[in-house]
Amino acid sequence: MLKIENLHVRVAGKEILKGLSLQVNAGEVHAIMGPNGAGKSTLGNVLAGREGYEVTAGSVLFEGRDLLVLEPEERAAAGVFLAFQYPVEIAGVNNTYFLRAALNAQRKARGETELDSMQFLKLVREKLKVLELPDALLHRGVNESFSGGEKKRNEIFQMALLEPRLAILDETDSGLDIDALRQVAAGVNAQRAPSRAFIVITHYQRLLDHIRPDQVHVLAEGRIIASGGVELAEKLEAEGYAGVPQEAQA
Amino acid sequence: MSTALLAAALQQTATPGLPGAGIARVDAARAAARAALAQQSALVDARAEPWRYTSLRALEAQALPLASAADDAKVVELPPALGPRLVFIDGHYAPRHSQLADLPVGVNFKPLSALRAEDWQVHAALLQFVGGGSDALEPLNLALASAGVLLDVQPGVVVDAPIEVIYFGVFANPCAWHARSRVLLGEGARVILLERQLGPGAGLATLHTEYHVHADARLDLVQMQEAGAALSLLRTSTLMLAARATLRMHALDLGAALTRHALGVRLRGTQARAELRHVVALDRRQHADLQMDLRHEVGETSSDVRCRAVAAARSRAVLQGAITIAAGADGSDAALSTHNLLLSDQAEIDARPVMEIHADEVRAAHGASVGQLDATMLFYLRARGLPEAEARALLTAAHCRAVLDDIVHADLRTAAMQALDARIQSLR
Repeated sequence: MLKIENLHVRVAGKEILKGLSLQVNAGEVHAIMGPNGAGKSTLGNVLAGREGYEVTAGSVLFEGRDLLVLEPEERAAAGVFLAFQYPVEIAGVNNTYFLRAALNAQRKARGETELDSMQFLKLVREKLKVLELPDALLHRGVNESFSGGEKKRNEIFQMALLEPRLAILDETDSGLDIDALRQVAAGVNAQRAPSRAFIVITHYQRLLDHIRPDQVHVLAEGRIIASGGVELAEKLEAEGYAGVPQEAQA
Repeated sequence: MSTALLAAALQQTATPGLPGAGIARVDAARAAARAALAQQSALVDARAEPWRYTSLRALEAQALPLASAADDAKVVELPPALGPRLVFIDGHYAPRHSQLADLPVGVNFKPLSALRAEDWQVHAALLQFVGGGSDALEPLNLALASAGVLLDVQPGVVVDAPIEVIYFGVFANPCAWHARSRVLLGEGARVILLERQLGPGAGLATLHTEYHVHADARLDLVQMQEAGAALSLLRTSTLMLAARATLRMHALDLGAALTRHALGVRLRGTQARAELRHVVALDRRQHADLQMDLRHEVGETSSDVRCRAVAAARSRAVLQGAITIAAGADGSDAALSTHNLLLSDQAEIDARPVMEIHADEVRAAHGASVGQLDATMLFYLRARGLPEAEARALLTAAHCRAVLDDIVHADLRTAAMQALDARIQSLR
C-alpha cells in the first residue's frame, strides 16, 4: 500500500529525514517510536502534504501512485488521513458543516455521490457512539473549546467518518488520560480492516497495549534504525532508545 | 471655481418635486442649503485628516445628473420582506415595492415624500445640519434629498419583525441621489431596523441618518451594503443613546466601488450601551473607509466595538476608530478590537484604533491585528479533503462570521451570513 524509499526531507533548511525507508501493507498496523527530534512528526506531515517540508530525495508510492506530487486534498481523497498531534481550533467554522463538506469533497473527487444532510447525520450518529463523544461537539466550531482529550477523540471520530485507506496517528496518545486512551484505541481498533493500514507514531509503549501493532520501528536521526515485533516496543520501554538491539537494526 | 460634480449639483437644486416642496420651512431650509453649497469649491476638503484615506477626486470630476424619478413598475428583484418595508429605486420612493400594510400601532414609518407639513415641523431636525456644514456633503444632501424615511416609534412599542429600508439602484448611466432619514425610538421602545443597499446602479449616493434611542429603548440596527460595483456611497450615521438605551449595530460593507461612512455614536445617558460590529469584504479596487467616532459623554456607559476586514486584489479597507471617554465619565467600559485579513499582497488595510480617555476610573481595552490566513488551519482543512479555494473561503468567512453571530433576529442573521458567504465566495 505504502512504499517509502530513501526519503530525505528538509524543514527550514535543515535535513530532518535522512534516507527513511518503510513499507506498509494493507491491513497492517505499524508503530513508529523514537526520541524527540527524530523526525516522527515530519514523516506524518510530509505524507499528508504539509507546506514547508521539502523532499530533496527519495520516493513515496501510495497504492502505486506518486504521493508527493499530490495536493493535500488530493491525498485525502486518495485515502490518506493524518490525525494531528495538535488539532487546530477554528472558531466560526461549524464542526458538522466542516465534516460534511470534507466528506463530500472527498466523495466528489472520487466520483462518488455526495451525502445529503439526512444521510450524513445518520452516519455521524453511528460514529459518535464509538468514540463516546457528546452530540454537542458537533454544533461548536472545529475543535473550539474542546478539551485536549476531546480534540484527540475528535480526530479519531473524523477518521471513522472519512474511512481512509491509510491513517497516520501522530502522537494521538499524548495528553490523554487512561480512559480517553482506551476510547481512542477502541476507535482505532474498530477501524482495523484488511483493506486499511495504520501508522501509529508514539513515544510510549502503553498505547501499543491497546492497539497491537504488526511491526514496530525505531526512528532516530531521520532513519529507521530498527524494526521488529511488539517485543521491540517493550524493550524500548524498559531500556530506552540507547538499548536498541544491534541485531534488529535496519 | 467648483468641481464638475458640485457645479452640476448646484444647477439641479431647482429641481421641482423634491419631498416637502411648497412647504415654507422645507423650501427655506433647501434654499439655505443651496446657498451653503454655492460657497463650497469642492465636495470635501481633501487635505483634512478625516479624508486622509479617501480621495474623491475622480468623483468630483463627474458632472452627475440627478437620478430621474424611478419607473415604479420596473421589475427589480428584492429579497423576501421580513417585515414592513420602504423601497427606494434610484433615490425615489417606490410604493409598489413597499409594504406598509402590517405596520404596528404606534409606529410612524413613511418616506420623506409622504411627510406632511406637521411632520416637517415636529421633525425639523431633518432640515438641519448636524456636522456643522464644514464641507459640501451636508448641504448637498439636504438641498437635493429625494429619498429617506421617518421612523418614529412611540414609547413602549415593541416591534418584533424587522423594519426594512431598501435602496435599490438600477440606473445604468451614472447618476446621483441623496437620502435623509430620521429614526426615533421612544422610551422603552424596541425595534429591529434593516437598511440595505442593493442593485447595480452606478454613480453617487449620499445617505444621512440620525438615530435617537431614548431611555430604556433598544435598537438593533443592521446595515447591509451590497451596492453596485460602480457606486460611490458617502454615508453619515449619527446615533444618540439616552439612559439605559441599548444599540446593537451590525454593518456589512460588501459592495460599491467606494464607501465612506462617518459613524458617530454618543452615549448620553448613564448605563447606555453600544455594541458595534463591522464587517468589510473587498476585492478589485474597492475602497471602504469607516470613520467611527464613539463618545462616552457620561459615566457608567459601555461600548464594545468589533471590526473585521478582508481585503483581496488591490482593494483597500480603512478603519479609523476612535472611542472617547469624556472627563467625568467615570465607570465607563469601552472595548475596541479590529482584526483584519489581507488576501493579496497588493491589498491594503489601514486600521487605526484610537482611545482617548479623560476620566480616571474606566475600563478600556483595545486590540488590532492585520494578517493572512493561518497556514495551519488551511492545511488542517485541506488535509481533510477540502479543496484549497474552498478552505480559504471557509476560513475567510469564519473570520467575519464571528462578529455576526449575535444578530438577534434569526432570519436576519441568516440573510447577513448568506450575503457575507456569497461575497467571500466571489472575492477575486
